[in-house]
Amino acid sequence: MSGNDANRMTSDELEQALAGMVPTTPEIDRDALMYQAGYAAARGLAAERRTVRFWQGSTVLMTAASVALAITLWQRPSAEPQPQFVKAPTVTPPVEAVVDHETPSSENSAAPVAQSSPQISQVPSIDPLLLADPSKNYLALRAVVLRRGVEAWPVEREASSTGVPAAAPAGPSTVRGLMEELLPPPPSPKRSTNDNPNEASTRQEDPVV
Amino acid sequence: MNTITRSIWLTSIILLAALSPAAHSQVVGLMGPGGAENNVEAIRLTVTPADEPVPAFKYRLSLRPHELVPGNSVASYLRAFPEGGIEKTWKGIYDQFGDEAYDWSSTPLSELPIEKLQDAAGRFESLVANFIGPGSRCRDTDWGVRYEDLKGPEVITFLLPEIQAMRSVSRALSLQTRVAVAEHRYDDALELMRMNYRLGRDVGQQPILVSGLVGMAISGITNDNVVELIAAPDSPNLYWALTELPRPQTSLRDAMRLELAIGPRMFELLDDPEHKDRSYDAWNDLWRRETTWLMTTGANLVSMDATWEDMLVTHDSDAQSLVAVALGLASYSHAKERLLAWGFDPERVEQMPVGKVLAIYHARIYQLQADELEKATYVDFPTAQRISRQAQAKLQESGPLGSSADREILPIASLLLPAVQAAQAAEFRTERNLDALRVIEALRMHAAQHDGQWPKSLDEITCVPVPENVATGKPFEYHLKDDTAVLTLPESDGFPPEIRYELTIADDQTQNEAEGN
Repeated sequence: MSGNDANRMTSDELEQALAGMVPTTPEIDRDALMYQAGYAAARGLAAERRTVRFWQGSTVLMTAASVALAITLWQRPSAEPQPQFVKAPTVTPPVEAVVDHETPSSENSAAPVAQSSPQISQVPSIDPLLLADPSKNYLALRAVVLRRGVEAWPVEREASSTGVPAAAPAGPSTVRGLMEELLPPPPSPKRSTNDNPNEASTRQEDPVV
Repeated sequence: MNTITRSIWLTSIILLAALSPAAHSQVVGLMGPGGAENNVEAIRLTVTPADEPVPAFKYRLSLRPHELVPGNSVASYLRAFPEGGIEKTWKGIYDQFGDEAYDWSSTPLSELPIEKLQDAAGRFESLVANFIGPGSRCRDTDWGVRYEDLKGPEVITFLLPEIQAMRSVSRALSLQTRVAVAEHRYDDALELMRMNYRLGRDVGQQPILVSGLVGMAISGITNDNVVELIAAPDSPNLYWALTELPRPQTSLRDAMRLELAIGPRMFELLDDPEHKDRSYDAWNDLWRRETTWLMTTGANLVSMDATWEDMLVTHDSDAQSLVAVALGLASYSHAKERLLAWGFDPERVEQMPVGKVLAIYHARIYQLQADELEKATYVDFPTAQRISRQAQAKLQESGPLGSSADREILPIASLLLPAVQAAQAAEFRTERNLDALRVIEALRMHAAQHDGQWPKSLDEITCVPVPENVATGKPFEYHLKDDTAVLTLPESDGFPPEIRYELTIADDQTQNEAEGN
């Protein structure tokens, strides 16, 4: 029916036309619909669970951090500097005394003692005395010791040139040892092949030192 | 998120935010350098109570006059060096044990490899028995060097090898002492400490500031050994042994007086010019020569290559002479004004050679400064500190570029006069630390007489006199913290860092463990 014709229809004819229209049956797959509804519901729940777990986890973490910090600060409440433990000569069981000491080697070290002068870096300083070599200048030594203490006066560290531990140095010479070094040994007497008890012995006794 | 979780989370955030600034400062403080500095040394001792020995001086740390033998202690000490002596023995130890051996002295006794120490200490036995011990029993001490008689550049070019050498001896004695304490050979430990205290006094006897400081350092090492003995089980009470030590252990009085006179000893210009007669040319030549030498020496003092021969040579170049003359002429009118202000006869001043006017002016300026510093040598520590600070401030104002009317022309006083504060602090610190050990022994004595109980205050101790803190003139700081007696030597004494002795009484179990049961 054309638009013009519809405009010319009476109300009765329009009513009959409309009454003849039958609604179409909806074509919904119930099963699919139920499935999708359940799927959607499950996804939302999981996301919500993850969100909840995140906040729960972060809450626990923050709470633990706060408690730990509070405990730490409670144990050290004041701003007073904490003692730096330096030494504690504690009660110790007696140590077995070493009775025997090996006598030092009789060989003296032939290596001369290496003399090294203290190294001082050439750093500009407001005190020129500190730039001088304390080993050559008493004023420089005095300045170093007064400002930094006696320990700043370096004790020379003499390293072994060969890397091999040196033998313990021999002790001081004794009188007997010096005598043996300085005096030649007496000549050994010649013995005759016939032992004649009447011949005077030429053997000399070692001198008593 | 439910309400409860949200609430907890918000509370945690707020707590964390509130605690963070305080936490930050604590963390920074714990981190050491760069953060807040720890200025407290805590020395924790577990001790056994010990009553006064019977007789009272059963243990001594110094010999009485009739126990000394004729002889020079220094001669005996020096015999310990030739032919495989002290230095070579140390060299052998360092070769064998490496860098570890250098750390032994700063490691607590309980953490040391005692077998290695026994090995090392044993190597010194012969040297100590034959040379150091006998030296420590000699009546006299003569180092054989007349430092007081040195003049000119030799005043600063002399060396101190024998003083450096004595440090090696002291370390050897300390090593042996620690082994003796570990082995519970207390009598041997006491004898070794007696030798070390004597060595410190002998080294400090020379009228040289550095020698005095080394002597005090040796006493300090021995004091540390005393602490270890105090902490050893059933160690004897050393109150009277420490009390009988000569006081002060090392006096810097003579060293200070000699060092403050270094200007006139080095520079003829400053050596009593008011009463010296020289010709007109001789005075001017003296001024020129010594000014030139100072300009040369000033350069040598900062040169790493300068030797004592360099110090003795005057580089008399024309340019330097010209500078010296110009300096003198520029300063002459001011020097003359000051002489007139000091009451010199105007006519006499007008007739004086320029060199003499300058010499008198400079000698007086130098003496003004030196005398101000010397005052601090004769008073108590707090007063000495105040006087030293004032004197150092005046010294700065009196430099060549200073604002004082009595300012130097040549920077002699400002170059030569020592930083006396540091030296005086060392002397008082040594005395204070020794007195602290006496307080600890007084505490142990009190505990022995009161069933192992510490006193609540030092006033409660009546068995022996309790020394006061020389730094303050007041009693030491002491308090009880539960069962721990705490003796504090605060930084406010003037000797950082703060030292805190924390003493606890050894219980039976600790005692048995210590005795090897």
